[in-house]
Amino acid sequence: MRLELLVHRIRDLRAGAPTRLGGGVLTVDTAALGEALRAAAGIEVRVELARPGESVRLSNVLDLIEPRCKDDAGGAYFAGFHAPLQVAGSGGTHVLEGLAVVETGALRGLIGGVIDLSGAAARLTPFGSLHHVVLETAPRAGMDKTSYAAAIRRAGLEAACLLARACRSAAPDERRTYDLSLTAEGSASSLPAAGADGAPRLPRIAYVCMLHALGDTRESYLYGQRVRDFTPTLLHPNEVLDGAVVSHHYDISPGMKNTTYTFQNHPVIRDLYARHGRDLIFAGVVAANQPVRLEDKECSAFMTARLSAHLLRADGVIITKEGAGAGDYDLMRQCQAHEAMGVRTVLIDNEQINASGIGEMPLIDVTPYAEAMVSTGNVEELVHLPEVARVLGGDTMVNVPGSLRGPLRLESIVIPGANSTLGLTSMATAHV
Amino acid sequence: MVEPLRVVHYLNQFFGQIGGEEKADAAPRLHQGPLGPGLLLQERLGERGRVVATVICGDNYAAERQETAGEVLALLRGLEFDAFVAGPAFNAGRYGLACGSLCAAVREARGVPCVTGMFAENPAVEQFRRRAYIVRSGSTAREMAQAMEAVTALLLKLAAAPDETGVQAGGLAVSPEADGYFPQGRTVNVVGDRLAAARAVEMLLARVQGRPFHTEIPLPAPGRVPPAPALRELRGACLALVTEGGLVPAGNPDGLVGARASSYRAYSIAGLGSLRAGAYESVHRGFDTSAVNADPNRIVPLDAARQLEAEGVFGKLHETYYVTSGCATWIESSQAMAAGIAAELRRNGVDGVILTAT
Repeated sequence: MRLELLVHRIRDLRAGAPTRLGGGVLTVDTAALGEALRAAAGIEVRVELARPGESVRLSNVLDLIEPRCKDDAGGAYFAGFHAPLQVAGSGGTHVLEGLAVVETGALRGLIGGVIDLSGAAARLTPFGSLHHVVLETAPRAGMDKTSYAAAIRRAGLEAACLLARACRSAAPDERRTYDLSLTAEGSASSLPAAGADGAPRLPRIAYVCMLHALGDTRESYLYGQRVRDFTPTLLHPNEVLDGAVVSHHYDISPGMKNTTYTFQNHPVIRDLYARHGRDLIFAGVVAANQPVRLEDKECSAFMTARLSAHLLRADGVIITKEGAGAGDYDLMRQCQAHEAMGVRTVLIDNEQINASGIGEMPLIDVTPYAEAMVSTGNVEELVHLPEVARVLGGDTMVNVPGSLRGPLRLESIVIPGANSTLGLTSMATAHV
Repeated sequence: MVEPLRVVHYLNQFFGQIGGEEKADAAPRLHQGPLGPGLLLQERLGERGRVVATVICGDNYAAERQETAGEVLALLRGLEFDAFVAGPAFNAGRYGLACGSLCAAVREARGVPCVTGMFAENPAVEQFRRRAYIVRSGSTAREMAQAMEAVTALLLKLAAAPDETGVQAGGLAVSPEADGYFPQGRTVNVVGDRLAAARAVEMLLARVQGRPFHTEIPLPAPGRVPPAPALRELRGACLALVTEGGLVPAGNPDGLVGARASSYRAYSIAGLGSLRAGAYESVHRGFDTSAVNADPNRIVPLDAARQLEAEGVFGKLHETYYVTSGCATWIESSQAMAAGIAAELRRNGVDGVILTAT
């Protein structure tokens, strides 16, 4: 399976008609795009543009999506969800890099995030340095949160596809190939066989991608499929990089969810690819669910570990989660199940200590095997946000007191991506 | 030119040149300017600071009286100063306690940087390292010069840092590794130079290949709660319903929070046979509450409890249920809430609890 990302780097963003890309400058017909999204989603959608470095704050942020489309006749994307069911991860895919479609919306029960595009807070999340096509949405009268979230989701995915399709005639800046039959250096058929020529055997490393399955507005989708009643399954890493996983987290704190953008740019998968054939053999990906019931959690961990151990023959796995406390339980069960089958583990997690950082992380479950964990920071540490000139996404938020113009003092958990549990953040902790 | 730092220095009776053990009961007193090791402190500070006063107190006086810190703060009340140094105390036990407690007290009362120095095995290190900056020193005063050097360097850094730590300051102003102080048990966010994902892959390769690695999240010591002895006899027992499921009367009249709760609520169920749908709601933020909202008895099982009570399976139901939201709760909050609920249950003669969780 070979995926070729046709990367168009977005260096500037402007309003104008028609929507087009030239010389790295993306021009967006915001009125036409808004109209198309209203028709596709059946809710009010207004399109606003924001650039990194501007005195702009994005509020009520629900998800971010990197604009993509396939390089085929239809150009459809997000297979099984927003496009017909077909295998993701092979062929050409156009990518508008440096750009995100931002879903925003407010309704009782939805939990939004805040992204600053300038100042110190912008550096706390990778999203602070992107160009943004912001969708300001409003529900129809009487809409409940589940149907509103589904409509926002349609608008977001549609916007991502429409923008990429409008730009795909431009020549890409870079072609990036993902193919497990090539080494990180790109040479084919030189993957060292086990112990060949007396060389030390490279360790086989797999990745376990756990997906939340806790409710209509708190889950991730695989090929448009809910993973609630789901048996863990093998994936080719390209499938994740090419839109097979779509985040659908609308009522959980930003720091505790993974955005669609993060799955599309999955940092664990990209890092394993970057070292494939050189330091390790990237053995594959297992998608596992994080179900509601305790016995299902145990079972999911067991079913996952046997795939890692016996089919992928992994020496070690990276395991990631979504969600907070229940996700920690899943993380520990997966750790235990893998180690019991002889597969070494490293877990990525963020920490919920308190604003002062004094005390221990309240893990609801601990296995002694969990001796190798990477921290993406204390989500409760306070962050100062200055006053800004413009807020996109609404001036108020249910989980933030006062005007979003600021100045604000917020917990890190409100900033999407700052404490990413997929590891797309440079945040770490120091013990002082 | 930056204004020189005004520093107050604390010494015991020996270093403060009052006398030896026979003066160990001396009450705190204030001396203008530096004294004894304070001269060395002044020398290290140079132009950057001035030792404006020295507080001297006997070791026994300080160690035996809880109120000593308050007395020292009272002595300093009229004095303007920007930083506080105590000792260093090396491996001296009583002196170490005085230095640790005064650094903590002055930092908390006056908000100025406070630094002392001690030998790793001084018992005061474990007692005060969380509340005071304690620089690692040798065990005896023979190593005064190095210790005072480290104390001064840390003090100047702390005085110059607008915020002692913090991810937004562009990194840590001070750290135990760089500045040689005992870690204070605080976790702070820092922006590193590598993605967390890359750190994870590196850690896994080290683990698989048997190379050393350091976990970034030390596992908490597993807390063990010994279970109460089982009830021998249910028939006469009074049982209560307690939940962390966030179930409150509709509209949440008492404002129970849905996550990180630090308090609980108590609601009467006297005269109720079951909890009516619509009359209650769960404000818990950690689970899908729709099933509980449709039938509140599934998180506070009043209907089943009433039936068993009527059948005489147990004696009687306590007519109040207790509730909090068990979501992202701090362990200290859990312990405090549990102690509070348990005390109420005991006062009301409750023998056993049905504790429903999410």
